[in-house]
Amino acid sequence: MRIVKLATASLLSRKSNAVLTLMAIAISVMLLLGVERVSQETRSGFANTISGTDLIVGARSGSVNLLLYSVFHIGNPTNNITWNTYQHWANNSQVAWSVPIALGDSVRGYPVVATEPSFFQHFRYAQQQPLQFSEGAAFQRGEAVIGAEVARQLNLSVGSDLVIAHGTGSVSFHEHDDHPMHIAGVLERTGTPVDQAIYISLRDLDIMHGGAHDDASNGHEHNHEHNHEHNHEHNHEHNHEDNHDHESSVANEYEGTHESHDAEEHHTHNHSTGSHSDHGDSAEHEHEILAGRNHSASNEIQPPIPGISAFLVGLQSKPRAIFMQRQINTYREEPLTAIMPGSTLQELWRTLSGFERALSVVSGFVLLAGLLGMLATILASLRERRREMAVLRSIGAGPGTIFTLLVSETMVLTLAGMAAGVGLLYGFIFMLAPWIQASFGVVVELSGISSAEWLRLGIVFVAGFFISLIPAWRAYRNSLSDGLSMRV
Amino acid sequence: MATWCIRGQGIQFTWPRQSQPTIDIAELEIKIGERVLLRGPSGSGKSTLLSLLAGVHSVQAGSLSILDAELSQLSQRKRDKFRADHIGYIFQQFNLLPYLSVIQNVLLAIDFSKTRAKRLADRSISAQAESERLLTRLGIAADLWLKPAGNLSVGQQQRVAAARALIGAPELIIADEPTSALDTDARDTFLNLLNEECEQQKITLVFVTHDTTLSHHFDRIIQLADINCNSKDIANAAVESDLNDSAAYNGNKEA
Repeated sequence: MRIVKLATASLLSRKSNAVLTLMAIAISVMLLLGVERVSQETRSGFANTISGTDLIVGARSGSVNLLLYSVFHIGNPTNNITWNTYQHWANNSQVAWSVPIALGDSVRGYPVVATEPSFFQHFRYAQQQPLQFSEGAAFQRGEAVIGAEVARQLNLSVGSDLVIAHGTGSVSFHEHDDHPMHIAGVLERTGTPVDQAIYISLRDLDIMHGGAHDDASNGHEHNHEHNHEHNHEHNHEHNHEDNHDHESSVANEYEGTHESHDAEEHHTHNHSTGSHSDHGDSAEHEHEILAGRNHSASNEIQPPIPGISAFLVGLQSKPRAIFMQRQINTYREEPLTAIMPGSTLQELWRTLSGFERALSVVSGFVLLAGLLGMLATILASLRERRREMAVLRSIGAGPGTIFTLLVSETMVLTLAGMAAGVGLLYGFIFMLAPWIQASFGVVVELSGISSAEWLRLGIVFVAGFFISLIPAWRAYRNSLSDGLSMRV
Repeated sequence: MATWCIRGQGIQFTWPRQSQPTIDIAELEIKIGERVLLRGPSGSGKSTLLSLLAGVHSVQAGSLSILDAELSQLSQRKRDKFRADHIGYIFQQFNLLPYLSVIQNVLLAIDFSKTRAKRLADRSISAQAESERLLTRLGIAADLWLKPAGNLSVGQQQRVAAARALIGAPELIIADEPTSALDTDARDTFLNLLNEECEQQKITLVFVTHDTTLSHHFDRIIQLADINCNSKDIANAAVESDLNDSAAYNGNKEA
């Protein structure tokens, strides 16, 4: 123990060197653990995001893309599915339940998911946990349900009003402020992207997008524009104060009831000039939801919305999922992609794990650099410490003691560096966790050190020990040859 | 009761890659309590002899026993322990660990030797009290005790080194030109204090210097050049070493 005390005192006398070396080790340890921590948390966060859903169906696209936009609200749907197609599959005898979702709008950067109230019944996350309301209940027409994080960040609760903005950016020029939503419920925290989302009914979304926005304050009455739509003779005039470029889209051609129309629009609103929004970014929005409306204002069984982004499916028999997946993928009426969330998560993870491995390798090399820096510092210090060694030998320290002293010194540095690295890691997690959650919907918890992390710490310790043998051996040899003579 | 503190016969030591032995001393005897001045020009093998006496290096031929312990028969580790327990060593300069306080430097000698600690315990004196006594005795004011040793003047550092060598009453003190960096007044003060302490505690003192003016402080003067015949040829040395092996054994018994 007295050797360790001596080693510490000696290190403290070379404080600036010691602190710099310690920081180098701390940073490399932080990186090493951080890569492990983030990938672990991401892995479990991703895996916990959805469960109980057998298939997710969207327009033809890559499976990872479909998963990302439908579950994580990252990226945009490539295309829409017509309501008819959705109905076709929803009524399939294999399908126990299905929930449509339509994406594309947001509230201050939080994605708006238009769906049906049955979503709250069928959606499961983590280990088959259902969504719970911390306040209120599922939405009715004109109402919204918000995730826990949205409620906290935007300081909203049941009864508040919510103005939905067009597009998915955190900044929007175009708000559906003529159609404010009333908050009906707040969900319990789940640690999944659900916390970040706002849920409204499909019908409301459709009304918002079908409506002319200058028909001030008429609440939910938008009959006039339904008529417009039916005429198919204009390009969805949104009479905003600012300029909208309406680009025609080739993507939304519907085979359903409107064989011949080409008036259906894919709108891109290019707001290049001033706006009534309080944000200041340009927003280009693909406006899939508008496409293919085939409803009639007078028809009672009209679809709530002409097109949806995706739908979640629960099957009568789970083993049939592969069969159903193939059936949906080869559906002739409309090109669709069906994915099994579990296996696509695996696929997503495989994509990410290569990246993770690369990061691990890099942080391994950073560690090596840190340890070599420590080695260089200690070896350099040995030269000016030969006197110190002679003094220690004169009072009875053997070469073995000198060896132990040098090993202790290196290990004190390594351990302090490891502790500082763990401290830095937790500091960063503490600071960055809200950002990671907001950006990726992944909750990185301030949990204890996992066994994989202990393993990595163990590797650092062992590596530090082996590094320490080098200066220790050098000092041992020196003290044998120098004896009591003071070579400087 | 042994009378000899240091008893060496036919001591030989050759550094690696050298053909001539640096040390070749037929006989070296120093009594317990004796204060001996060892004088020799540089290159006469002073440092080598001191490292043999301190047990850092081991004689290659002949016998060298200190306090009846034949050093060449002890392992490296045992010689280190022996030095910690029985020998106080004072260097010419830079005796202290600059990052420890003055008092920690003195206590370091106790840290490394259970025997020294026990000697103090037997007299029911705490290590702290004894180091304070020695420091006071050697004229280091109490306000310096907690200062880093590196802050002290050279003269003060040498006195702290003396306190460290003396603490726990080792039987032998080896001082390697400890006064060479001091001016005349400081040198005399230092020597007087060291001598007094050695006398009181019956400590044998081997004091190396080439300063001729210090002779009057010592009981006996050994001229290293007179006893060290390091010009002998190797063949002779080899024969002698064989003879001395048995002599060493006898010498041990005698002592």
